[in-house]
Amino acid sequence: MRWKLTFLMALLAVTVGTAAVQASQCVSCHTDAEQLKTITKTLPSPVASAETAGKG
Amino acid sequence: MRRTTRLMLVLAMITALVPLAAGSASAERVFIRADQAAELVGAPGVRFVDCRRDDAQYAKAHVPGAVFMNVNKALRTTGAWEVPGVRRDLEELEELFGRDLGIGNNTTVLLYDDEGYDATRLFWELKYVGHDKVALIFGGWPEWTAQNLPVDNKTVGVEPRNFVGTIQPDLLATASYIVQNLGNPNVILVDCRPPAQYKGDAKAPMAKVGGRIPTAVNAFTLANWEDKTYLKDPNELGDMYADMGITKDKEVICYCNTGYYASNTFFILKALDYPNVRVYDYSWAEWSGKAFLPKIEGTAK
Amino acid sequence: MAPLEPHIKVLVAKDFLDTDHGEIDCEECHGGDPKGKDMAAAHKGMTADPTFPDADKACADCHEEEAALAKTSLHYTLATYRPMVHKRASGETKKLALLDKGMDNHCFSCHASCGQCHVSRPESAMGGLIDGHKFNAKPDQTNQCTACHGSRVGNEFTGATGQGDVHYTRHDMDCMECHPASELHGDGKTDHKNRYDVEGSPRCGDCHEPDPKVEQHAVHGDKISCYVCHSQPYANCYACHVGLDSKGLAYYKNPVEEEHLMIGLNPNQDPDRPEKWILVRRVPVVPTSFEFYGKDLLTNFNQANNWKYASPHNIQKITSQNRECNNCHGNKDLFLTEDKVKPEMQKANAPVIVPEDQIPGKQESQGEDEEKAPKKRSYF
Repeated sequence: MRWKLTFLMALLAVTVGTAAVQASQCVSCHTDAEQLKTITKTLPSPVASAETAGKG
Repeated sequence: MRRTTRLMLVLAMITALVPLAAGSASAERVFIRADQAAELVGAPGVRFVDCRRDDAQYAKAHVPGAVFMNVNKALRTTGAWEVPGVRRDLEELEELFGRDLGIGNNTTVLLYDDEGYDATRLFWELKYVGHDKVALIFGGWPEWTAQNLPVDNKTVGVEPRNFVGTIQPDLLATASYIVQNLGNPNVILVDCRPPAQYKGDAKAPMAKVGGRIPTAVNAFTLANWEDKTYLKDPNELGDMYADMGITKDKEVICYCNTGYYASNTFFILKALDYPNVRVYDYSWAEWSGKAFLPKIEGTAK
Repeated sequence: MAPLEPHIKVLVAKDFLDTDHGEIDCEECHGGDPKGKDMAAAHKGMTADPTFPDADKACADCHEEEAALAKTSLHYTLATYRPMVHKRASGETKKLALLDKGMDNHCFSCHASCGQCHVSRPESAMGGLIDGHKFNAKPDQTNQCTACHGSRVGNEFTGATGQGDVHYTRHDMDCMECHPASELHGDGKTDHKNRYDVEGSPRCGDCHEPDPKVEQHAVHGDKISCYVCHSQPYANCYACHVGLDSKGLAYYKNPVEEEHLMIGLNPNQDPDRPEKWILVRRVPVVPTSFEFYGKDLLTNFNQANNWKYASPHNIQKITSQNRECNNCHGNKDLFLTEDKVKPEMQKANAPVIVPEDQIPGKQESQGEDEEKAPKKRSYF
C-alpha cells in the first residue's frame, strides 16, 4: 500500500511539474531578458523603407 | 571704385561695427547686411569665416577670401568630468584664431553659416576672449547666394597673425555661479533647448537625466530664426523675451546641453541690446551628471 | 523617439504577471502553442497583436462596451480616408481597384488597435512593448500618440518646431487631457464626414471663455476661429508620393513642406464651428500621389478642396497675429488668396479662397495709440 501511494505521489509530482514547466514556456522565455537578447541578435530587424523622405 | 574712396568706405563700415566710444550706450552692431559685407571682400583688416558644416560645400563655393571652420569640430572639446562640447583653453584659441584663421586683435571678423547656429557659437567664443570686432552676415550663406553676391572656390592662403586673447569672465557662467544666484531676482536663467527637453520628457544623449535647472524659463533658440539664418523681427523677439521676464535690467544666463544653443541665444540677446548676458558653457551636460545640484526632472531616462 | 532595442520589444515584465491582464494565459489572447518545444513551434498560430482586426476577440469578454465602440473609432477603421480619396478618383473600376491596393499598403497601414494605444508602440512606428506588456489606461504621449502623429502635430505641440503649445510647455497637459477615451474610443457612428465630426471632439470653448478684458475678443466676436489669432505658423506638407521599394517595403516621399499660417473662409460653418474665418492647411495629396500603382488614378482630383480646416497644436497667448491689428488687417500674405492656389484647383477651393476685396482693411491708428506705440527696433 505504501509503495502504491509513493508511486501515485511521484506520478502526480511529475505530471504537475511537467504541466507547470510546459504551460509557462511563453512566460519563461519572454521574461528572460538575456535569453531574448541572444535570440533577437539572430533575427532580422524589421526595417522601414530607406526611400521614405521628407516630413510625414 | 577709386582706391581712396574704397578705403574710406571700408574704414566707415568697420567703425560702424564697434561701440562708438568707451562706455557709450550706443548699440554694438552684431549684424551686417550681405550687400554691405560684399563691399568688404578683399579689404585689408577684414576676415570672412565660413562656418558651414560641410567643407565640400565650401570647396565648391565660398565668399572670396573666406576661411573655413567647422565650428562644432574645431572649437569644441571635452572638458572636466568628460563634459563634451566645451570651449578650448585660451592658449589653444589664440593659436586657432591667430594662426589658422588669420585673425589679429584688430581684424574685423565677418561670419556666415547655413544651419543658423554655428556662426553664433564662434561669435560668443571670440567675444569671450575679448575680440570685439565680430558680426554675422544677416541671412548667412543663403542670403549671400540669394543676392547673387560674388563667390569663388579658390584656396585661401592664410597669413598667420598674433592673436592675444583676454578672457571676459562676465560672458561666462559656471555651475557655482548659478548655484550662488539661484534665488537672486536680478538674475534670470534661460533654457534654450526644445520644450520637450526643458520639461524633461526628452533628453539629449550627453545628458544623464531629462530635466532642467530650477527657476529657468524656456525659450527654444532655433524658434527665433526663420529659414534658419534669418533672425525674426527684433520688435517681436523683444516683446517675446520681455513677456517671459527676460528683461534688460536683469543678468541673463543662457544654458542648453553643451552651450551651443546657449551661444545662439547670447547672440540674439546681444542683437536686441541686452547689456548683461552670460553663457553657461558646461550646461545641462554637466549639471545633469552631478547629484548634488538641484534639478527638476522629467520622465526621460 | 529612439528605436526600441529588439529584445525590449518582446520583453514581458515579471510584475506584469501579477496584474489582472497578466494572470490570463498568454495563449488565450495571443494563440500559439505554450507547450511548443522551440520558438518556431511555440509561435505557430500566434498573433502578435490580437486586438486587430477584431477588438472583440481579445477584449470584449471583459471590456464589452469599450471594444464595441473602439472598433468603430477612426483610429481603428480610418474610415474617412476612403470616401475622401475616392472623391478625387477616376470612376473606372480597374483604376479604383489599383487605388484601393495602394491605400491598403499605405493609408490603411496606419490603424491603431487597442494594443497599439495601451500596450505597445503602434505598428507603423515599428511596434514593440513599451512597458513590459503592462496595460496602461492612459496612452503614452511619446511612444504612442506622437509616434504616429509626430512630424506635424507632435513637433508643433512639443516645440520641436516653433515655440510649442502652451498647454504642453507651460501647463503640463498631454494629448489625453483634451482627447480622452470618450473621444478616442469613438462615438459609435460609422459615417463621419471627417475627423472633426466625432462627438466629444474638443473645442477651445470647453475650457476657455474669451478674456473680456481683451478688446480684440469683443471686436471680433465669434467671426474668427481662436486658432487664427493664437496659432503659430505650421507645416503644410504636400506632393506626397507613395510606392513600394525594391525590397517591397512601403515608402512615403514628401518633398514639399512649407511652414506658414494661412487664413481662409470656413466652407462648413455649423453650430460647432460657426466662425467665418479659419486657418487652412494644404493637404499632402496631389494628382500623382499614387502614380506607382497606376496612371491617372485621381482624375477627379479637382472635386475636393485641398486647403482644409486646420487646428494647429501650437497655441500661444501672444502671437505675431495678435500683437498688432495690422499684422493681419491689410496683410494679404496671411490670407489664402486666389494667386496662392493653382489655377486648376481654384474652383475646388472656391469656398475657402478669400477674395481680395474681402481681406479686412488696414486699421487706422488712433492718436493715443501712437503715443503708446513702442519705438521700432532694427538690427541695422
